Amino acid sequence: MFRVLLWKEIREHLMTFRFAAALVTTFMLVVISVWVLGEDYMRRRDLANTLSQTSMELATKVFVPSQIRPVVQRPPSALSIFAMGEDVHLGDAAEIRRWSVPTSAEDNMTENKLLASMQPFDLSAIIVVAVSLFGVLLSYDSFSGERERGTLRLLCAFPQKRGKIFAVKFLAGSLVLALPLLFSLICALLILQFVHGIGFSQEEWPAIALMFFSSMLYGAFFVAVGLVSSALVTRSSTSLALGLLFWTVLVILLPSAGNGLASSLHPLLNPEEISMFVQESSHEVRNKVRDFRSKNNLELSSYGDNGIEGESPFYYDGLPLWFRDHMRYIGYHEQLQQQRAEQIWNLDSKHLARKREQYGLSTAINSVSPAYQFRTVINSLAGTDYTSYADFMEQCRRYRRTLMDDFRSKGLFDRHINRFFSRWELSDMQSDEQVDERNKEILELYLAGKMLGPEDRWEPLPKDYAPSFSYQGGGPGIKAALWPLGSIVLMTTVVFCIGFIAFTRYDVR
Amino acid sequence: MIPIAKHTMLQSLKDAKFLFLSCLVILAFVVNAFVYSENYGSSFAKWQEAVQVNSSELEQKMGNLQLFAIHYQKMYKPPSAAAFIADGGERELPDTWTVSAFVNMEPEKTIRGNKMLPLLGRFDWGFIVGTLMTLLAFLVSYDAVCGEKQDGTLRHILACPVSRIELFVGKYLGLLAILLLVLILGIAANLAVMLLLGSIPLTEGILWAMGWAFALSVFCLSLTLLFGMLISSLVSHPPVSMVILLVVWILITVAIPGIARLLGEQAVSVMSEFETSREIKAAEKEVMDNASDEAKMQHRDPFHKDFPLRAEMWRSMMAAAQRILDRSNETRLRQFEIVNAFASISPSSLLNSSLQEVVATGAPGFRALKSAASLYQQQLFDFTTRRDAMDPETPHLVYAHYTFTDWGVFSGKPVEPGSYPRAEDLWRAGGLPQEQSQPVWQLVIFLVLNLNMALAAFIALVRYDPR
Repeated sequence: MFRVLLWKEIREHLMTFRFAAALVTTFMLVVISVWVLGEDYMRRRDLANTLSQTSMELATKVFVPSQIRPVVQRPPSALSIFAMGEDVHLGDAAEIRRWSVPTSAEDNMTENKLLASMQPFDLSAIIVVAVSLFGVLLSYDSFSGERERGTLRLLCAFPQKRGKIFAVKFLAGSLVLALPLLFSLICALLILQFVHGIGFSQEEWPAIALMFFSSMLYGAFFVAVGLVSSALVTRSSTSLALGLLFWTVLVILLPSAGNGLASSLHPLLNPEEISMFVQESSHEVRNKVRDFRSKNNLELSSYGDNGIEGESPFYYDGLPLWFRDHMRYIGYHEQLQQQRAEQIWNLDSKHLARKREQYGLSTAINSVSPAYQFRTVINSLAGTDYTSYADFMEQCRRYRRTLMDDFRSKGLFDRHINRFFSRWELSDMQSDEQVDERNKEILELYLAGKMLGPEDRWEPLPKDYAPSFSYQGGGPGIKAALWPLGSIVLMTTVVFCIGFIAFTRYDVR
Repeated sequence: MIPIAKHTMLQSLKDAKFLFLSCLVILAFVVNAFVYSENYGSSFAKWQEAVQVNSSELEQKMGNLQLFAIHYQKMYKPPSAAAFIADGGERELPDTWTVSAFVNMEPEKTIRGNKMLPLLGRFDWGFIVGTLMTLLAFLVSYDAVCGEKQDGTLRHILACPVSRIELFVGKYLGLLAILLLVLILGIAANLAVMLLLGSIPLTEGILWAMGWAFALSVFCLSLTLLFGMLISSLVSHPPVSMVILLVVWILITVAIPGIARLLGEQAVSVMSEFETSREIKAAEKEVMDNASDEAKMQHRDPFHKDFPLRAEMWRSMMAAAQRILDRSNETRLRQFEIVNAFASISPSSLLNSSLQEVVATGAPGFRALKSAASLYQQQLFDFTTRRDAMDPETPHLVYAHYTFTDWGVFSGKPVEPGSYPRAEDLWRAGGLPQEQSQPVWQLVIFLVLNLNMALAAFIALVRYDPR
């Protein structure tokens, strides 16, 4: 009997105009979005490759370790075709410098920052809005409509418990809603496979399956919402109004609340503190360097001061005349700047922790909305949520530490400070005569127009001189997705129970 | 005509759908006032602080005109007090331009709160009217004609001495009147809360913007209403027209803006920042290579005392770089505007983009910032040239190459406080640009669309079979 009822319900749904509209609309929107975003993904993937290669190329033209300043690029995840997530406004690259610890990423691949304010039109957006609305539309007249037509009495006349009838309605609606989803997703995968040639890896398939499952669950939640609004009132037009009201609140209004509330409940620390410290410590370093210079009576060329200001990696290629003094000066300065970077990072991380708390609060407030929870699931499955961005930044910082440790283990900062900044050797210039001789040589080359650049005199450093960065993508965050997925299940159960109770009290006349 | 309008109004007022959603709309207006009052208060404070820091940095450079001229100032876009009308995604848009007397650089985002906070929907008037109230308009109009047919009342009405045009106009006016009622109640609640909180200054410019926003909203609502009536007179069952209208609603509020973005990105290709910097380097190298040997020689020797050739070379290098920067910003802006143009097939997007035009947020706001930046650079340059002309001891070669200049080519006298141009003066109170734009042609488009839609809906009603 259960099966007969289920089949009847499904067949009825399949014949409705609503179902046809849901099928056609979902299919068209998904195909357009996946087609274009697939293309966009390929562009981003190629760009990420080019960018990391260019960064490598630049690295090969480096003559001294102080010039090593790699740009670390985060490659896009293939699943971002379905959910662009937070990636669209969090950055994707970081430059690793000695004098600063990376706190937030830069936008390297976003071509047009002006478009960042627009919501991306991806699969998750389509499901969040369209599929949920169709869920409500499929089921809003389940009881009130049948009552109006007079068939509900008939249905309840069968020797069936009302619970079973309710469950049949819910199950039939959810299964029918899954059809357009399944159909569009399969077409989307076929397009990606055969038009764009994008294949997915072993670990991405379970994520895709889970994406489909969670979309189904999300749709089922709204089928249950439709059933509730149908079981609460007697007229189908009123239940439609109620269903749309629930839908508008849950999908459109609620997810906008979190940010504002979180920023006023848990405000950020004053960023002035950081900028003050940055300025003060910069002055302090300058003063210390000046003291060091006068105390040790260093002979420096006129540009000695200017050359090491700012964050550019210093590379000494001047005349050997002032070389020895310059090296002492630069070495001292380098040490101060590295200390300063750590101090600034300590301050930064305090602020970062506060921001993370605010983000957590906003997420907690938003999590009452199933639409937000669903986005969280999809984004963490696609690896485009905040967590994977934070993971990337952590990797950048770890890489910076590895790089610095490598320099330190090579003894570049203490014993061979000259090797760190210049190709000149201290041992070449022990006596004043040697220095004079070298200066004369260089001057002659210069006057003859032969001294063009370091590449004419020196070999660049070997490619594997310093450890390179490789991004350890965490893969799809299945574990992170389970928690919000569980809360969607919970919400669906709650709504289901409410609907069930309402239906048991429903007057079928 | 009037009795039909009255009757329609009363019927809608009794309707549960209408009551639910209109309460929601009014609530949304109230929330809007709270959210944007809070936002404006805090971002205005941040802006003031940033401007303060910038001017105190500038004051340190006033001892020397040359240092003053090459100093990179930050030009911040003041937060728009009218953002509650159209937010325009200000949270993510660049708001700062680095300007010296010689160059204005890439725009960037510097005043921002927490970048980590998820990108969520906006809550401005454009959203409330373009998304919520268009849904309301569809909900009141989906059964305007086919519902009466189903109830059997359409035949009765047509049996009375009422022409179909009277029926049409009566229905239209009645429905529009209740939508306007909700809109006016909402705006009144909005204004009341804003006056209570008092952080948004209701200047003349903002009141004008509100007037425009009201007019545009009315046209937009009337258009969606007419479309609802059109669909209602094309089908015979209310549920069918409901489904069609909801699909159309999804299309106009979510799908069309989304697809427009995808299409716009394909239609206009934009140089990435990486490519831009590479082109700048190439252009500078080209200028350098084409320069005369004498100029090159002067460039290489820092102690050469004869400047004019070098000045000429560096000026053309800077001009080439500026051209490329300007072009790259221009193509970005064009892409943004083409996305908006594509999206304008949807009335709710058209409403949004015209509201942005009125209050100068979004693309129009960015364009205002861009022109203000180049204007300010010009002012600084003119100021420097003027000051230099007063100094008899220099060769009057006002030029620099990014961060450094040749000492002695132009005046290095101190600058008196208060004599130089300030970036803040380029904006009016409330963060509006000096010239407030009037979205006249958007209004005309809305009008033409309304007339066409009215004609279509009327024809559909005339051909409607009431049996």
